Amino acid sequence: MRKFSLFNRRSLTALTLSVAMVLGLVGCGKEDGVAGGSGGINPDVVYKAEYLAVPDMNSVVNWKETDGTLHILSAIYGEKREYKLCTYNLADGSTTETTMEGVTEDRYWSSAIFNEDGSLEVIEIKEDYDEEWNFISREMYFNKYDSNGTPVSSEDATEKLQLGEDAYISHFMKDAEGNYLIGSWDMPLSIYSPELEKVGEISTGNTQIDGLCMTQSGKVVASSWGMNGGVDVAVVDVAGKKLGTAINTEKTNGSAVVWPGAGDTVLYMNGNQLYSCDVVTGETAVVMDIMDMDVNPDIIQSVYPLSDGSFLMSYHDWYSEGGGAGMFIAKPIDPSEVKERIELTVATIYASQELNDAVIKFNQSNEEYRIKVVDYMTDDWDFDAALTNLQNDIVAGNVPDMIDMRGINMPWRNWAAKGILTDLYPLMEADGEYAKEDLLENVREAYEVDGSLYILPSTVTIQGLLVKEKFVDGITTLSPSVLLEMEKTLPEDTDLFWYNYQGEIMYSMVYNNMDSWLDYEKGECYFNTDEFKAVLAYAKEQPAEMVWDDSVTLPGQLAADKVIFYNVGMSQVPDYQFNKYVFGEDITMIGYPGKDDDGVRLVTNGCAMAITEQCEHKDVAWQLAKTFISEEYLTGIHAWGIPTTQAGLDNFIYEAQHMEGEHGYSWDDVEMSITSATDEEVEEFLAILEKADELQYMDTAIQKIIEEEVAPYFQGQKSEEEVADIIQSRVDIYLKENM
Amino acid sequence: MKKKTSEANVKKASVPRKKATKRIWKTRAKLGAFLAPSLGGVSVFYAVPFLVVIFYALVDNPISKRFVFLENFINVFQNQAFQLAAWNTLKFSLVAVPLAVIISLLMAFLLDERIPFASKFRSVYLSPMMVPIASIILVFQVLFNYNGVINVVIEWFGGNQIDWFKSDWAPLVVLLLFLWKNLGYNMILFLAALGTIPREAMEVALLESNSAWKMFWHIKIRYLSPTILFVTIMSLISSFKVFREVYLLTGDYPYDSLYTLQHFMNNTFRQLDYQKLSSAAIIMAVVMVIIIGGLYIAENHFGKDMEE
Repeated sequence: MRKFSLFNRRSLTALTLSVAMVLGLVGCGKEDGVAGGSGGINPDVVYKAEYLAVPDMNSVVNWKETDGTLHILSAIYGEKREYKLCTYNLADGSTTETTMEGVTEDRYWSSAIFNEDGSLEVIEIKEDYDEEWNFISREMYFNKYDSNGTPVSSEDATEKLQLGEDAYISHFMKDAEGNYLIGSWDMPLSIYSPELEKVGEISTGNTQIDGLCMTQSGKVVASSWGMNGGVDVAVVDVAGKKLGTAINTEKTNGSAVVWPGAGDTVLYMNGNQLYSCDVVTGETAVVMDIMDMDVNPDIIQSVYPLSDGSFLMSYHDWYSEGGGAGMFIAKPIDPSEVKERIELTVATIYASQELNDAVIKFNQSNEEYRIKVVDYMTDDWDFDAALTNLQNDIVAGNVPDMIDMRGINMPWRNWAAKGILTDLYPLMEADGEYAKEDLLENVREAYEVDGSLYILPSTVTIQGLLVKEKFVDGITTLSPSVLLEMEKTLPEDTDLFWYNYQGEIMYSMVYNNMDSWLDYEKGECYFNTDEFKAVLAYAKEQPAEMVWDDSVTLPGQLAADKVIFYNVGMSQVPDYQFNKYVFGEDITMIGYPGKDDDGVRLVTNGCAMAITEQCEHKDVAWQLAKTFISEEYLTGIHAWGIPTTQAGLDNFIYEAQHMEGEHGYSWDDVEMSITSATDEEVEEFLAILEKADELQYMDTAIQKIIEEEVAPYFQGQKSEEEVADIIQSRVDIYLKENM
Repeated sequence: MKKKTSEANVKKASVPRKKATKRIWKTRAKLGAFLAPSLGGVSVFYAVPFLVVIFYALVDNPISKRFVFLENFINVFQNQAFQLAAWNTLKFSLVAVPLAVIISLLMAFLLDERIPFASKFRSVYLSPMMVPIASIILVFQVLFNYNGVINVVIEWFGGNQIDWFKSDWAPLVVLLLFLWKNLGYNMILFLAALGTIPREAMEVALLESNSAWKMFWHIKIRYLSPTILFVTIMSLISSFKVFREVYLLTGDYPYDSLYTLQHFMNNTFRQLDYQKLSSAAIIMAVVMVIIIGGLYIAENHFGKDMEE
């Protein structure tokens, strides 16, 4: 037998092939992109917010950083209008404040730009009105000030600028050659020489420029909402008087404004993250997650990169009491300097302002724990895809500690049945600040599952059909047979619903009315009944699409009894007051058959926190969850909708009955000034609220089956019997599968 | 003295045996090292997941992992959707697999005779394997849609339109799709096997005045029995894979005659119902093992003299 040797040809070949196979696996698991690339944030770079004691920035006209000095121009609106020029030295924190001279009451500063030496150039507008405030004329002045705020020159630039009388200037900048670019959303971008002589215009076609800035490398960049969604940026060829090829960034929310970045990049906020986009290569990259600095991303107003890798950020905090405006530097620090805290995650599909705000407040006040928001919403706002991603993570074992269950179709019941969510009542009891009796009874009834509470809703909306009481005397819910009977008694020119076309009939009589057609507990459905066939036949008689008649309005039709039901959600007492006014008579809210005969449903409005079983620090997670039913939250700026606690509801009613002044409501040709609600109105509103003890839920899987099958029926290709049988067969399988 | 000598002889004899044992272990270690990547892959992608599936089938949910023994299996057996799916899957396999084997065998016999254009027929029968699934679906939709070609022809002849995908005709359409897709491949396997039958055996049988049927049954089928087993198993597996086409044609919840075990498992997976899914998968695996085991036993019985 030949002796085995590693160094013969066959052995070496086999070894080489084996190594080659293994090497092929080395690339697996590598993250896309480089550090800081579009695939993710560089984990080796951590930013910390250092707040600057800058002077009041509540009405900043413009600001600029030059050579370590921050120059800020603010408008002060007091007894008379003033403009202040402030400087802030970034090195030692010293400040100066100068009130600008020469400002008169009949003029205001439309736009201002700082030069590199800190001098200021301003477009000042003087408008004349007659005694009845009719517009007479407008003059534009071009003023220059030195870095100390001392006026240098002022010239009447009305004729030079050649802007119309009603021109509203929103873009005013100077490029690297000293040319001025002035424009607005609704007029072309005009180019002026350093002597303010107009040299041309940049045609933007159908593109409306929302932002204009200059990168640190000197490239002028225009930003706008793209045709295919997302914000486009394009380099402006000033000499050629044209826009370059648009680059689509990943920005899909907020405004279309971008800020100058280092080199050839521009910066922008997208969701909770700061992005950069290279306007030459088109590459985008995530720079940082603002939430990691315990700063609310929603308050960021502008960003500017400093030469040491920090970012200067201006903000306006609308959410905190006494928040106001200011600036901070996002400074990169050594990750080892960051105190390690135990991290909990909260998953959400679209991070709301209130969630971000609550998480930041928690992080700022907690030394031991930190909460991270994980936002699953996709760039193209696909809720289903986002939910699938969240479910995939749960299935893969990457279960978040908390989940924000706001939204109508979050499958929290399914997750609770699978043991993914934890019962919140024991946590509530252990904490002691709240008891289950603090929640409204109908809310408990709607949200409890076998005596357990798996999500803690903060606010809700009542959903149902508003109708004049005279039409529903003795009727508590609108089963399809009731609706069909009512329809037979209506005059020719009267409809049950405003949108009386096939799709809407299916929504009203089938999709919103699911409890009439199936029994989840028994696993049975009743689509092959004469009642369902009658609904199909009635729907088929209606137009395929909404037929618009501009001569009539829904408020008018409701008042004149030409439309009977109005499908609406009410979140405030004034909603009820206004709708009652529109109808012109006593109204009530009625709904569809459910577990009982009340019919009105609840929709989860604000944050609704759930804590997962895998969370190792449930008591800590509860501290965040309970903030959403606190008095501070429910009376704060974020809360919208009916509070789910008795204390919150009491305050809600109190506010409705002690409204300051009048609030205008309008709907088509109906206008009303809402004032404090009367006791009678409050009683009526609460009577409707008490009826709502079930959650609104639409089974989209069944809806999809029915929509598929009724389409050929509405086109006349199939009979009611065929369609009903097929729907019965398919839905039956669906129900039995879930038993 | 003799004893010492015999002891010395024993000692001398044991030295070569030890060397042989050591060499064997060394060889085995080297073989193991070369096999390790493949074994590792099989473990990671097959063995371990299968064990995980068994674990999931025995607990109440993947979070609390409370052992519930056979409760999940009982729930699945009692689930009416599972019962329907299992029955439909069994019915389809019982019809489609024998047809796929018999028809492809007959086609192979036919092509084995020297008929004109045999090679072209072979290419034609193999061509469905090259067609992408999306194209197959498109073709079948064009043919069998409610307003498709087949219904148009039926209406020409005065008949009524048939809802091919949403009526009791649906399994027939799927059967046609399955046979169209798989006959060519099976036929090629049989053709190759027919080529290995020794001519001498056939000539001897002919000389001994045996009938064509006897030659077919006692010689050809005997020699083809391993291939028949293989084709049957492959067709059985393919009969399960037809879910892909059915899903693309009819979605998550098809007409009840098309609802198979794969639909059940696919839907329970999407609903995160891992316990139902795992239990159903294990039940299906056990049934498959029984069926394939039975096929092997049958093949052993009929084909044993071929091996001898």
